[in-house]
Amino acid sequence: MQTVEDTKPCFPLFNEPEYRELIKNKREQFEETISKEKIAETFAWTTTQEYQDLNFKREALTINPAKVCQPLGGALCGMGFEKTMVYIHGSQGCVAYFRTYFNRHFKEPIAFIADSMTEDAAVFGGQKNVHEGLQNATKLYDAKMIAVCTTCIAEVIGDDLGAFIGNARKEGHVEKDFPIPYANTPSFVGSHITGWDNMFEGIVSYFTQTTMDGKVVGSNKKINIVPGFETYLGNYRVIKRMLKEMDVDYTFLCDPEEVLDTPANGEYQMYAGGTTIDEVKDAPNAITTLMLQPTSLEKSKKFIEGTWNHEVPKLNIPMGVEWTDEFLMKVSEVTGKPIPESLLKERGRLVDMMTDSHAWLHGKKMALFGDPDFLLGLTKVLLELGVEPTHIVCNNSNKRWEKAMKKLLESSPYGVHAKLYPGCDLWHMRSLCFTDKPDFIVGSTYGKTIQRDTLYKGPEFEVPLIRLGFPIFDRHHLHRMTTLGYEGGMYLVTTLTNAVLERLDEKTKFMNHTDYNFDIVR
Amino acid sequence: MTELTREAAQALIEEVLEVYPEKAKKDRAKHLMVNDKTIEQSKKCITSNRKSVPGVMTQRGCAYAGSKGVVWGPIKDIIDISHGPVGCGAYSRGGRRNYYAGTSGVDSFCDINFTSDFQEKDIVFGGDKKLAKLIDELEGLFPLSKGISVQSECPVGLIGDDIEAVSKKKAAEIGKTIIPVRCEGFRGVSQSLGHHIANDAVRDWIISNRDDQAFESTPYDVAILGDYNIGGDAWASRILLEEMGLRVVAQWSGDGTLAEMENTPKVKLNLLHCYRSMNYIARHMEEKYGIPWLEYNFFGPSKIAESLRDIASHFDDTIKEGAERVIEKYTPAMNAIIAKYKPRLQGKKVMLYVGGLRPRHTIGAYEDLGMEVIGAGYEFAHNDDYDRTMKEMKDATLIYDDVTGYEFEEFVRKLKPDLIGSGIKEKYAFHKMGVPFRQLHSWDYSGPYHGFDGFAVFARDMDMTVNNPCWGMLKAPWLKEEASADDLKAA
Amino acid sequence: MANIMVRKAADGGLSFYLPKRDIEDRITSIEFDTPEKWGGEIRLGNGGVYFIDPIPAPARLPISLRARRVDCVE
Repeated sequence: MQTVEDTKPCFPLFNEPEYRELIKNKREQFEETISKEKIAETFAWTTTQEYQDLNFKREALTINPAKVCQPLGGALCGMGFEKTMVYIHGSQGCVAYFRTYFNRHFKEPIAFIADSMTEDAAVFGGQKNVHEGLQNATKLYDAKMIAVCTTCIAEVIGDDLGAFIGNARKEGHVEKDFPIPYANTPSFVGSHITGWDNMFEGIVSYFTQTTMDGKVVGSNKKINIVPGFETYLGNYRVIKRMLKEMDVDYTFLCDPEEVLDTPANGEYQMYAGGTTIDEVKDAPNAITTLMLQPTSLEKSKKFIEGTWNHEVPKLNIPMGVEWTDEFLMKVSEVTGKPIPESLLKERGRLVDMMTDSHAWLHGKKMALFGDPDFLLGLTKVLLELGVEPTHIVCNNSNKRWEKAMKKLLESSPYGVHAKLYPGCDLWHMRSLCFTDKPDFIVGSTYGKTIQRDTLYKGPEFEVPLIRLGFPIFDRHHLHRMTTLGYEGGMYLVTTLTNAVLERLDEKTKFMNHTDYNFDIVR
Repeated sequence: MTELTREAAQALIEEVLEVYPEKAKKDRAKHLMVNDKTIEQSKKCITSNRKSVPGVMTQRGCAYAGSKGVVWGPIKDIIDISHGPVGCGAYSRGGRRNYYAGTSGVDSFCDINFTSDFQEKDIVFGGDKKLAKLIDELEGLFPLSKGISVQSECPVGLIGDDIEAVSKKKAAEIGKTIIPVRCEGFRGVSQSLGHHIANDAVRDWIISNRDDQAFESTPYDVAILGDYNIGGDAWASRILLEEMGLRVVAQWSGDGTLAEMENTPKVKLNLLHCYRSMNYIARHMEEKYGIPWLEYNFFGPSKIAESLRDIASHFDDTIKEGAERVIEKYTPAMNAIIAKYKPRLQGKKVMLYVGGLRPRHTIGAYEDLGMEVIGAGYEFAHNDDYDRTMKEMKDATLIYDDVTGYEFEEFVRKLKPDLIGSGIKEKYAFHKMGVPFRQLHSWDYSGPYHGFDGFAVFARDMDMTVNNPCWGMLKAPWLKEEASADDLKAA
Repeated sequence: MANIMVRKAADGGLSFYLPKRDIEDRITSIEFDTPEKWGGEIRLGNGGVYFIDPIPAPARLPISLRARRVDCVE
């Protein structure tokens, strides 16, 4: 029973004897539960190689996927442009879900709108919804651009988005020249990263496809940066800072850094920052375009190479020392600007941190999951630190990723034992964490249940989760951190090392039992 | 702020509506009203359960959310397949915080996301074969599940799949209950139809499974309907019912099981907390099995005591005495809580915008703390919900249905409440505006809020949010000086 | 024709529920109310009028029936 002095929320309230009793009685009297022995036996079986073999035979069933659907990515892309309202053509429930998903990760307001297709629209098509929706949206939200992507209902019934928007203009629902780029983002193809790629291509092609006359590569002396599905705000900031320090003029093509980080000052701003339409129109005049997540931006790259005639450099995601070196050297090469002393010093500081921490990381085994380019970069960082990646699960992988990953792993003695699991999900990962236990699992919040499940087998089997990637719902403010560049390297080294040390403390803090190695100094 | 007059409240609504194009304005006007307690039927003054206007920022979800997310998701020993593309299952995973007790992946499946992850070929050739295979795979990996539900996502209903046939066939093969649920997201206008469809699926596939079976019943058997055990709510409710001498045979559906649901037709009284999402099955059981049902409210000591007595009135004196005993037992603790928090919260104004029952059910709890609800609205209510709400609200308060982001923000700007209770999509905009905010769908990662034990947490949480010092720091001190200097100049 | 349900209200009277239109209201009068013949025109608290084909008085309430709208106020 609660008292005013000691009011307990769920935990530890439900650990109190009266609730333990209640839950136990409910179980015994009404749930017709299976015997404790049978449950224990079955749980033990789920941790075996036999279970893993059965688990890996799955063809139809996905359990705990580490990916979500296209329009979520399309929506994030749309947010990165100045005063742009993301408009999703399809069911409204999807949009509620996308907003919620980002709310939980960023702890920020997320403004997307839906045109709320219902059963009649599923039968007759969604044109009426598009017309009415665009009219209301342009009137209500003071947007400079409306970026449209789709949910699966519109894709399954085959709505012709281009024609609908064209008709909306013709019939006067929206002004003739109001910018409404769009993309088809079917949920049953690819994943959120595909959706980002599609929406990006939709936006840049809308503003540049037919206005290429007079565009001269290199004439604006800038470079373009395309971030891809990027949820670490620090990554936008670090790239900008490094380019500034190099005195390189740049255009971030898609920049949601500000809108995802508005201050609490008494006013809610629906829009903030973002790439301007003029910047997009001017982008073909840049020297070149750098893709920060190269394996996930195939469609955008094709457009930029084909229409803008940019030679998109072959680069890796700038994570870790060497791939950041490579990135900066490429920027220097294409712009002719030298890499300044400040970045050299920053590099030195990262390497210094690595030398300081390597002893705690060398030889540690880590299982990883996440988006393809993030995994490539993370693997690169681990290999540079002497960490051994063991199981690498990429639910939304592609052939390019597999090839690049294999090459990377083969390049290092620490990578040779790693195994790739393209297209696999986190129930596969669960089995792997039982049958070939890593020291840590690295990935999004969704790795949390694997930590719990492995602990349930016994404390010595627990695989702790290090939270890196997207989404992170259960820790605060980690989305503000940086994983790219030397600065990102510093965050990663700090995070990884301290996870190892925290773990060591947890294991050694028992007085007169294991408190050797429970050190003041490390 | 001062109390609004009826005219001022009406003028506010009209002012807010000004921005809309004609058609949208006409439509939205019907969903906003100033409360008038003399009106019995809300239908005369508010429209609800209609399509949202395209292109405005509705906060509503879909039928899938109402079925999988709300009704089916919390049943712990049934595996719910999110049948269709990959997103829906992930978006609806874990956010609701419906707690269960069990061994995840062995006998409990609430926190696992099972999906058929539709690919283009499944859309083109249909997903029935995949579904059949998937059920075999589930059976292989999770042999102790008690049943499987197939929660349809949008494409399923559009490509002509026959999930009913697949479910029937596979159910016979594996000897377990398999429930096809046609809760495609495009059906209906909100989560609400999803609740109804989910209730109908329970009616068709579960409720009469044990009609011919014996059941050892007692005169004191009840079931809790419409409690999803958010933050443990159902446990904090169950404990009171048990203490007064009742036997809770089933919880629907928080921490619920298939067996409990199948045994529900044997109870003497159905206790209905969330009327919106489960009145359908309560009415069905009333007609088919003659089980009366009773709406109750376990938010705040006043309403809890009233409800306990109401419930007891359906039973004999032992239960009536039990109810009094329970009320007496908890009263000192509740008084202490009110003594602590009421002085800190007295007179604070609250605006609510939630789902199916909370905009009216929590009013009493706020009033117990001396707070006053000056605006309330629902994402997906029907007029029967508004009938019930109008009685709870004071005159000249605002009532808003399917409120848009824009309308809600404007109402808040004008009415300046001290606290908003709503959902996560609304939360952060109000944080920027500096208005204390609690999520009232998920209890903002806290809870339970039901029952006497829950009220202690509710009171603590409202106080911590209303009175936290962070809200006082929104304006930088040098800007405050500038502002007052401007005021001086103006004067 | 719509599906409706008639149930006993808490105050002992009859209540009318039309799920499709969210109408839940007390029945103020019913045309036929004898054991042999029950139903016909029913009037609601809100002034609405519905018609149900007369049947022998139901042994138990609630009961689901088909009703025709004669005159509705909303």
